Amino acid sequence: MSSNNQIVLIGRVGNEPQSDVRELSGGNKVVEIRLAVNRPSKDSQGKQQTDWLSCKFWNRQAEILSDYVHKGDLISVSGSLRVDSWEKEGHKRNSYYILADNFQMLGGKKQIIAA
Amino acid sequence: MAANNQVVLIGRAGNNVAEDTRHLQSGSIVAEVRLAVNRPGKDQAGNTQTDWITCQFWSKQAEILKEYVKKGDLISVSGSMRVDNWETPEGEKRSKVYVHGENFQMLESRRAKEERMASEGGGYSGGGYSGGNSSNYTRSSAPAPQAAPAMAPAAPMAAAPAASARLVDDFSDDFMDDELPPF
Repeated sequence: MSSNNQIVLIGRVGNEPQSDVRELSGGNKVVEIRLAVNRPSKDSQGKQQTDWLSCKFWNRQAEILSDYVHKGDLISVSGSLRVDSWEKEGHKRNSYYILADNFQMLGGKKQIIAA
Repeated sequence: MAANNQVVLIGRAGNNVAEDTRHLQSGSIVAEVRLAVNRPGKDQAGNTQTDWITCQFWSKQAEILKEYVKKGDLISVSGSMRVDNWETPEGEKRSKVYVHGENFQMLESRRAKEERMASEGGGYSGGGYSGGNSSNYTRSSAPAPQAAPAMAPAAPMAAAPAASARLVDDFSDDFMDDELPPF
């Protein structure tokens, strides 16, 4: 994790990681999860506000994640905040995601720590 | 700062914050700084890769940011990552991802900044940080008497090399004013 860009999130996984593993032609594996991270305060109607943030795990971490983590699980993720920018039909597009270095499962009996 | 969502970034400002500050009808102030955060490695061509990350500050912090942070300044930002979703009147879904800044810190000494201004003509270099020069004084907590002098203000910025100006402009207008989320 680069020291000028660090992020730590705790939230629940919104998709089934196992079914979202992609194997790239170079032999690399990547899995993307969507993490539901609650904001500390509620909105004016008293509803819980949630940020849905996308996290990418590569190779070994992707394997461990897809083996152990399922939709709805509470996990913490650490890594760096990344932005991919490109242009489509003349419009600039950005995609923000967390390039994850590590994760940890939180809560429940089946707690494991991903090395 | 929410304990379940923490971001810390160090990078250079890509805009003069004063130009990207909005005063809302409610009386609140929102300031945005686009932060150029370098990635650790280089790409195959040997270029530094940079993430441009929008950071939004409110109220008091926004006022301080607006006052002191100029294009090219090295700052650190802490806060949380947020996504705002809304729908345009035409029914299109939009989202904006940004860092909701809680705090920031100026990381350059005045001397380092002056040297940078002198050597680069004030433009953003896109390069690395000036090593050990980061004598961290916090303008956000102090009244910052030394911060005020606009010693090398807008003039040299305007004279910045076209290339570096373009570098910043490429990333500047991702969000139209009329696409702002409802606050």
